[in-house]
Amino acid sequence: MRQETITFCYDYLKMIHLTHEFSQRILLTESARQNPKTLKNCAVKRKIAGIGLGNSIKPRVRVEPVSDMEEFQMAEKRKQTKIENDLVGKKGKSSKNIEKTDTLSVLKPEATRRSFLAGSTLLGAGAVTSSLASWPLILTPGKAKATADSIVWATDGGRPGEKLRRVFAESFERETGIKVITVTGQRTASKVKAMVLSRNIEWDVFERGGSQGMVMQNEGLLEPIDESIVDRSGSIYPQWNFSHLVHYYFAPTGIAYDPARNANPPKNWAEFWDVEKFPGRRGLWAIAEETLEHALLADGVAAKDIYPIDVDRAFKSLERIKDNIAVWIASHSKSLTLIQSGELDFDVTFAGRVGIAKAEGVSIDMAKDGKISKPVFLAAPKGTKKKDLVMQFINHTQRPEYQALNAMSAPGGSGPVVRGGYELLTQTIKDQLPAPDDPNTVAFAVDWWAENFVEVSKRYKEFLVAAGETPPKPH
Amino acid sequence: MLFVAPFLIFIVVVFLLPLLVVSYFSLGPTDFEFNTPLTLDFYREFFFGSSLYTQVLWTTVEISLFSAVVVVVLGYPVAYYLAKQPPRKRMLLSMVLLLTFYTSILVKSFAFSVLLGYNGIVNTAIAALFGVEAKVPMLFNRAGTLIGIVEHFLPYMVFPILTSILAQDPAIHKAAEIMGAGRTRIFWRVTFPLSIPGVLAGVLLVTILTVGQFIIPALLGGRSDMMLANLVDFHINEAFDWSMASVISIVLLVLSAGFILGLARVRGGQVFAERRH
Repeated sequence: MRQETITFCYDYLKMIHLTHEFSQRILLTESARQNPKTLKNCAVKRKIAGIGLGNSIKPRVRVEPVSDMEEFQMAEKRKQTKIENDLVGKKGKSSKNIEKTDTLSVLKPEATRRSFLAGSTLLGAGAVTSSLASWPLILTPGKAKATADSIVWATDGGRPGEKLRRVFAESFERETGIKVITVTGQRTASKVKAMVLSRNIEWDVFERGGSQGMVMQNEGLLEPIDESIVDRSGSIYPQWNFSHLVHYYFAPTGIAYDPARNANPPKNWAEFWDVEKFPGRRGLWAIAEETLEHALLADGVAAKDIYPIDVDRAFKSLERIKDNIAVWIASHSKSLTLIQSGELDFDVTFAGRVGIAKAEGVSIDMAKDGKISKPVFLAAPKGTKKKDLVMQFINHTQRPEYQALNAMSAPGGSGPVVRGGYELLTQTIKDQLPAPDDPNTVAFAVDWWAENFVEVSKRYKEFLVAAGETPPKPH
Repeated sequence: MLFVAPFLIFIVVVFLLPLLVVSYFSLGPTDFEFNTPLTLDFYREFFFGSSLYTQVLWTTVEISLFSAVVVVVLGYPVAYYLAKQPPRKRMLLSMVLLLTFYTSILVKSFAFSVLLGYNGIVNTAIAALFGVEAKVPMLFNRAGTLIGIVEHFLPYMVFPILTSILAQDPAIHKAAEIMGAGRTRIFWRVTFPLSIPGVLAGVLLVTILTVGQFIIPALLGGRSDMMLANLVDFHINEAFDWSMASVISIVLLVLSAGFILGLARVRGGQVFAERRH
């Protein structure tokens, strides 16, 4: 019974920090699977935390002695430290990370304990409603103390941006008191160059996926990463470590389809190219990055042998499918809508968007194979006055607990890049992500694309505009 | 002359100076260090290098001229009809016309796919009547681009024509009627010729605005519906090649100027001429 409550509390602590209802649902299911009795408790606590499941559930809360929780915390900490030691210690680094890595404390260690104890005590007293006040960190996220210190972070908009803000920015604000102001906007090399040239640095730190960050680095538009502040030793993907860029998550993309409409969808790129056996309306990106990889995978190249890309072979492969592509999708964000609206049967899209849609009840799924993991980087424009704060923030994003949190708040859509973060994930979440050593997943080669992007993109555009349109055959 | 000074200053700051910068960048440099040798290589690349640029230039001209023609054909009857309505009704109908004008193209493109998509309302009806084979691809090809552009730019055509019809002296129509001309004859001999300045103004507006389009072809077009502005977008936001982007911008500017001059010559510059009653 005690262990059960403890497991639940552990799950719950993870859960309460997740921003989307759907990720909570996933964790709920998970803990219910592990231990059916905990489900009720989760429901109760969710209500307490103000998330609300409706009025029908009467809050009945069991009291656990406080010392148990402390004991559990200590045990967890020891366990985690051991994992960390095993991982990091081998490199002879008695990393500063270990102290920070307290599995349970997704918050600052002391703060967690305090609030958690306070929470338990109040719950014990049965003061259910007033316990709302004892979860201030949950209920009022992002209310950092007004200090002179703040940084501006340019990131995604919409729900993905909101998620990133909650996971990384708000926890950073809580821990350091440094305010993180998030803004959106196109994070292109041109924009950064305009800022650097005009000495009007609007962003202190920004994120950018794919190879464009590398272009900015090569153009000398970025501040170098301060290795004395940013600890990158835990990275699973050392090939994405660059002098001016820190990768902080990866976004898998792959083949999406509607399982309700297609009982037999293509499971990999070779099948996607096979229009006879897998009839349906197809869409590819009108963007060279990743599409060439898809073409090579379809042509039988193994995921590990994709780079350096054999450009001629990729275009030859694209010629084969060209006339069977109903839509050449110009913007990444349209892929999902095209499937949902029935315009397309299969296309390529970000797993994150599929995950969100699926959790909301949309009939959509993704092929497990043929995914490409694309890193998303953080970087600071040259000349920012907040360099030290930015480096602290970047280091903050590398902490395993936030890595895990980010992955959990968009199941399958954003992958942790730090080993400690990956270890923290539950099996359900791990199953939805390409494993670090998955032989069927391509790890996007940033340097190859940074070098060849312009040339290959122009050729891709020539390929697209050449020859007239052949309307795809109906099916 | 003095009272246009504020406008002139404004134009110099927000148009001529940036234009100078763009022209300078089109010759190679992308900063103000003044140590990069000037070159015409980027222009050479545009016209004689990759076939991409000339191909897209041609597509741009094609799309803008063709959509102008379609907009005239669709817009003139609308303007004529509006002109015949009592003022109150005309105002209401004009507002309806403007309604689509104020809707974001992103929203409209979604609405288009609901209506005209492969599984949209129209195609579902076609499939029900004539079978799946008869479905017509109306989006993500040239047709989609034109539908989007025509829909978006219709008001630009309707209002100049409407103004020029309304400005016609009713006495001329009366005179024609007294002389025994029928309604068709009056239209072709009086109303239409007198409204041509409005038509030309509309054509000018639509072609020039269409030449610089990039969202509509990106959202509704097919793979070959790439326009010059899409290439500017690519060179600025992805390829990070400011010189090539500048060259394309200059070509766009010259293209627009060409349209203006060409139309100015038609009918002795009636677009800009004073309206005679």
